[in-house]
Amino acid sequence: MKEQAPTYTLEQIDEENFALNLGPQHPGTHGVLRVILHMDGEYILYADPILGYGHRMQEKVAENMTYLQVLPYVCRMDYLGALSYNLAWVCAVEKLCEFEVPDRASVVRVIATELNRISSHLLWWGAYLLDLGAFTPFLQAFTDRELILDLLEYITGSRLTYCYFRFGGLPSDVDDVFLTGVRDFIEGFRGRLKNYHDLVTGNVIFYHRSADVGVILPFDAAGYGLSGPVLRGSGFAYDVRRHEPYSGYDRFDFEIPVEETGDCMARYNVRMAEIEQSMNIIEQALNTIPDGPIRSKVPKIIKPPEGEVTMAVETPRGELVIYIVSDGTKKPYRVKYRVPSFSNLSIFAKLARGQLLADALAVLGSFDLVIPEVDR
Amino acid sequence: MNVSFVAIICYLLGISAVVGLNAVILVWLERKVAGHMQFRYGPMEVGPHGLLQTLADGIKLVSKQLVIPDKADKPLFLLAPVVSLVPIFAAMMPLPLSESVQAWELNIGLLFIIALGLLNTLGILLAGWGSNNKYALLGGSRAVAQILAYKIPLLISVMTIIMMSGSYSLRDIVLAQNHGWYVLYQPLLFIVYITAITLETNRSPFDFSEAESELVAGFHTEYSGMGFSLFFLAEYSYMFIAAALASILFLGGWQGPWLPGPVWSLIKIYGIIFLLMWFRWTFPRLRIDQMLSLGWKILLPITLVNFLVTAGVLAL
Amino acid sequence: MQVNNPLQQALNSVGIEYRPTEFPNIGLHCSLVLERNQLEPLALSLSRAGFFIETVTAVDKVQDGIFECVYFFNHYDEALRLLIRIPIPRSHPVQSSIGKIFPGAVWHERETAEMFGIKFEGCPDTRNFLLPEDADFHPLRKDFSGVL
Repeated sequence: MKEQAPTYTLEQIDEENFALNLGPQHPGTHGVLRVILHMDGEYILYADPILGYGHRMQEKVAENMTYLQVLPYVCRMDYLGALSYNLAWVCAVEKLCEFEVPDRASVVRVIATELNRISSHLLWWGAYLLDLGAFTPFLQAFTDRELILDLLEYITGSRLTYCYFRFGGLPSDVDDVFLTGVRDFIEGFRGRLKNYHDLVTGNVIFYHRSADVGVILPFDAAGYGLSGPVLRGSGFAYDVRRHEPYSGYDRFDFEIPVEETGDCMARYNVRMAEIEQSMNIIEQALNTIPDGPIRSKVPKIIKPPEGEVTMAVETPRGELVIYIVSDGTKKPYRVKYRVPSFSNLSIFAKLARGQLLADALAVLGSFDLVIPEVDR
Repeated sequence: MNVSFVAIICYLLGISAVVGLNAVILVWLERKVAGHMQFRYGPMEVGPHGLLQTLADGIKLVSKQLVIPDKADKPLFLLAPVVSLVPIFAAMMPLPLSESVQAWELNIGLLFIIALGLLNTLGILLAGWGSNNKYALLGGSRAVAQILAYKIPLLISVMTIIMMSGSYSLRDIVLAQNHGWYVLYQPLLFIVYITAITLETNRSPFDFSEAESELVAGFHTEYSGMGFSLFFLAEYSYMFIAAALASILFLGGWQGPWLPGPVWSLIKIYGIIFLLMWFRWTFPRLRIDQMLSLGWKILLPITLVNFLVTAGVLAL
Repeated sequence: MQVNNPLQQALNSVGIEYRPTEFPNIGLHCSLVLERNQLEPLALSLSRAGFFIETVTAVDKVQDGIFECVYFFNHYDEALRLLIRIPIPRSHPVQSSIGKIFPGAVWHERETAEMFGIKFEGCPDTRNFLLPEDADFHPLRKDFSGVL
């Protein structure tokens, strides 16, 4: 059993202990996150995350741009799940202006977004194991991620911060090369995913580093507003794709993986199961992709009516809500991005108390943080 | 023991060559092993299959500036890599590669090497303290915390071997295995010993004092250029020594059919080193408290019981 | 629409009428305009009903001379996104904090406080968050020009 250090408040920390400045440049924080850790030896007494090193004032920028100009900019928030942000913004504006989206466009959107989700989860898989000290999985995951990036590059033209969806549909249609490419990838990847499990999931060291580490209780999940795999590891089957279906997700048959234990292992299992569910969705989408137009008629200059709209999307990291207030002009009056990593990170200070430094970094890794998304 | 001055110079030159060449080969091997385990080639540009890559890197490291942090304890900071490296030259002296290839036949060779091996931890501690960096300090303190957890099982397993062979001399231990290597009699002890030397050489899954994702680079966070490369040299040389001891204690040293003795020795040594590399590129890292309980609660009882059983069997 | 969902129960327990909105149009299941003193009891009752905090933000309605504090809540079991608006005067921007009820709200309140200059009374942490620690400007106010 691990010994639990007493928890302190900031005032109780005396000169016997020391402050460890974790970040902004640290291999374990995956970006420019800074956490001031008050330590007693290897135990953390108090963790104080300092944010804002990647802050770009995205919300103010959006107020000063037209709706179309914002479109490529939202994808820069979450560089690993850019298409989810892309999708959220176009869906929000389409909802606000009541644009129609052709069926074929919706299905292609789902395929591309789910591919992006798999690539994001793969990168997380590698990075999380890197946090635990295993280097090889990182590069193995990159081998498969590379195939997804190639596929997405073929249709979107970029490899990381994709901007593929447009208001009312897609800029260009997908062809058979892409569709068969996706089919081949899914087929091959199912086999390789087994290797991943063989290499890592059953490993005894991995089990002891993940099980019972960073347990999130269901009560805390609601208090901190968690979402995504971090939440589903704590026993809630909350997924925006199921609860508020968008872009035709209600047509697909998929499960929401849920684990009850709430530790790092649960979050790991949820994400690994989600990769499989994403593959199921893509397969169904490939089988049911309709023919037809890819774009509906939308005005050149987007001028939504006065009003406001709330659009929720399940990104690889959790629930993204875009809240737009429109005053009837070409530029949004107010944009609010409710980003999943921000809420997920907010529970870290509570989880880190009394943990060993190594465990705290494992917890940080299991959250799958993208710091530019937190900072916006 | 009448060792002339010229002989000492010759030994030192020879051992320096072994240390340097071993590091060059091991760094290259490590990168190749890592590469092939990760579906890539590793270094390929400099020389055939990247063989000269380490030399190129070495030249780069030597030409780099040794940055000394402003608030560092300068004497300790500069001393630490030296303290880490110098014992290696002494520790390599009693290692026999074959019956005739041995710098110095010492009748307490085994104890001599193990005692000098402890100085590596002192080097790490000095580096951690002298750097005036909290990550380095944590790395240094981890190295000290783990030392007892692996040294005691290691020493007890070595004592078992000494009991079986009846000698502290490495040459005699090899010769005592004429009728069968000790790994056949003591397979469990061999596993314990390999675990302990993984700990001793600070290799993953036990690389606590330089745990990259936790402590940035651990005890050598502040070292650059030559200081860093001395630590590297020391690490790989300790790997060589630990693997050589394992081959002598358990695998019959230079013994083997057809091939000459030194070749067998090197095959066994590099085989064990390959095993250590295999561990490193496969396993995640343990947590420090899990390692301590592994050392105290699992390795120590195993070796103790094993020691008593062996003593009982030998007494019969 | 269900007759008796957790949201209705939570609202009824603090004496607020439940009026669902058209979800597909604006993405909300209920939208409320409340007074400042109604927030805390409602937040408590929402917390007991299993709601989670999505975000806290504000909208600068500079023509009306008010800030609209905007609270998003949602429920994990069934989608019941609730939006609460609380208008507070621009001249005296003070709002009560729900950081003790929803610990996750603290970060959102810190962000809103620095971006709009709204003071959240009773918030356990009032330091600047995303902005530099010495920043005393409020960028998301409509009259912020970027020139200091």
